[in-house]
Amino acid sequence: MSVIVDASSRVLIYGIAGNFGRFSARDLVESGTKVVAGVAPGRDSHDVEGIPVFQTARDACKATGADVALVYVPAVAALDAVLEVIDAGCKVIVYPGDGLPVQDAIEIRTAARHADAVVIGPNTPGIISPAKCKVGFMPSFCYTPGPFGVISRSGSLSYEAAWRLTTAGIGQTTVIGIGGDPVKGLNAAEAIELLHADPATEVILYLGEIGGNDEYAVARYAGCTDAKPTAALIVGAAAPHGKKMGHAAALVGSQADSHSAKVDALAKAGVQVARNVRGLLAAAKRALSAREAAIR
Amino acid sequence: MREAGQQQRVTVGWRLRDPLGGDISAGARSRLDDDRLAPFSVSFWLNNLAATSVDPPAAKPTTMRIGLTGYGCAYNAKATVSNSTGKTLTMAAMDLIADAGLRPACFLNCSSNPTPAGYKLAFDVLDGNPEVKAILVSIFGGGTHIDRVAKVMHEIMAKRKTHKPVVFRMNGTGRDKADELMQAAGLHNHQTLESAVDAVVAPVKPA
Repeated sequence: MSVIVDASSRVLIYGIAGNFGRFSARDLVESGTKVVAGVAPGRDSHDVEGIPVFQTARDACKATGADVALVYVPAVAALDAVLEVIDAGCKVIVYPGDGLPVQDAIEIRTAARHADAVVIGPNTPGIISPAKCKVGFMPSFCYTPGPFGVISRSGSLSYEAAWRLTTAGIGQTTVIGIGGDPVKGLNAAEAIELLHADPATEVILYLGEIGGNDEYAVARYAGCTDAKPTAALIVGAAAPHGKKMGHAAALVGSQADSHSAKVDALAKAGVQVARNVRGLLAAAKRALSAREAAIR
Repeated sequence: MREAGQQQRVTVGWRLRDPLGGDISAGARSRLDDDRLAPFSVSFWLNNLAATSVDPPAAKPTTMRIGLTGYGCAYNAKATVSNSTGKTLTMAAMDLIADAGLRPACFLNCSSNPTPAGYKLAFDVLDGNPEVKAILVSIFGGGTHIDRVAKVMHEIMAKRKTHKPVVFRMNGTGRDKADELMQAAGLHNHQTLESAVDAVVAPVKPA
């Protein structure tokens, strides 16, 4: 099984006619994802890479049954585009863009909740269930099916982690890029609930960083008696206080935001924590061993 | 002019400088419709801007730099049309450098779809910073094609005038072709981040 997307997901790419949309269309089709439509408002394109292109999301969903949208538009146009695909009936929306105003992110999250839809992002590479469905632009060779559900605030770190796991023969059920912004469509607590409910996910790996409070949500989950074995990597030990390290939420403004506070909280909750990327595989293997011991 | 029955969105933006020295943008957006002659909702937002340009990011190179003090440098560049990433992997590299007993001098992120000129600007910044003793290029490309980056790196290295050591670790989309290009250019591409960090700290670590 997988969460949020699976082999039956029918994907539309909003913004398919741009350079990146075209690359993504080819990439997703090569990965085995069912890309059924593209949307290119105002463009005179009938198809891209053999995928039919429509002027509106409503037309695309009506004609093709698309239920997942990958939205490639700049931040200034994101609110309108995401609301359009939600209104057209898509139940999963991935918005990878950076720089989305917080006000717009709040509006998007609210609209998704009212429509019983899930938004992944902003500032995310997307979501992948290896060998089933990829909605995003992560490099496919880094992923393979297996027992780990992965949640990540970072795109590049999720590629690195998945590559290390896959190279070590440890696969993934679903890798969810929740994104690096302070207001997310799907936050860590919500993502972990989904992985907890997925019977194919045996172990959870969380990739976090300084700033924000997603890590404390992971710690609260791991402290529950029925929690699945959980491993985590937290980066940012060398980050200076008061400086935003790229991601809008990656800012150490108080002790609770710091690397050490998060590592301590996670460790106290029973999470196998890697303090840097060098310890990631060992932490993941300890969590997997804990799962295997529990089964025996 | 707004026509009757139409909603109109008005957006005003301006740049501010925050107390920490970064550039941020602030703006207001309001919607007008026939029912109300005055704006009925106004929202403000703050975005951290890349520091060098107010023009569309794709047109000019943009960089964000946070200065630290110490040896070594972490440099990461990665972008797609609508996403800028690589920052967290840069922090991961900085953590490994710190673990080696050194301190990263600079967190330099070329984001928002860097062009060859953007990468060159980054190298000019790093080469011109006396606190930077060595440069680590760490990229794990998803939307970024590292074979294209490898080509640009080759061109930059060929024309570069300084001799600060540069260590490469590039993985991700286009990896196989990137490895070929790097090998043909006589540049070594490290397989793991750990080996790249070990290589970049070696020339600057006190004996």
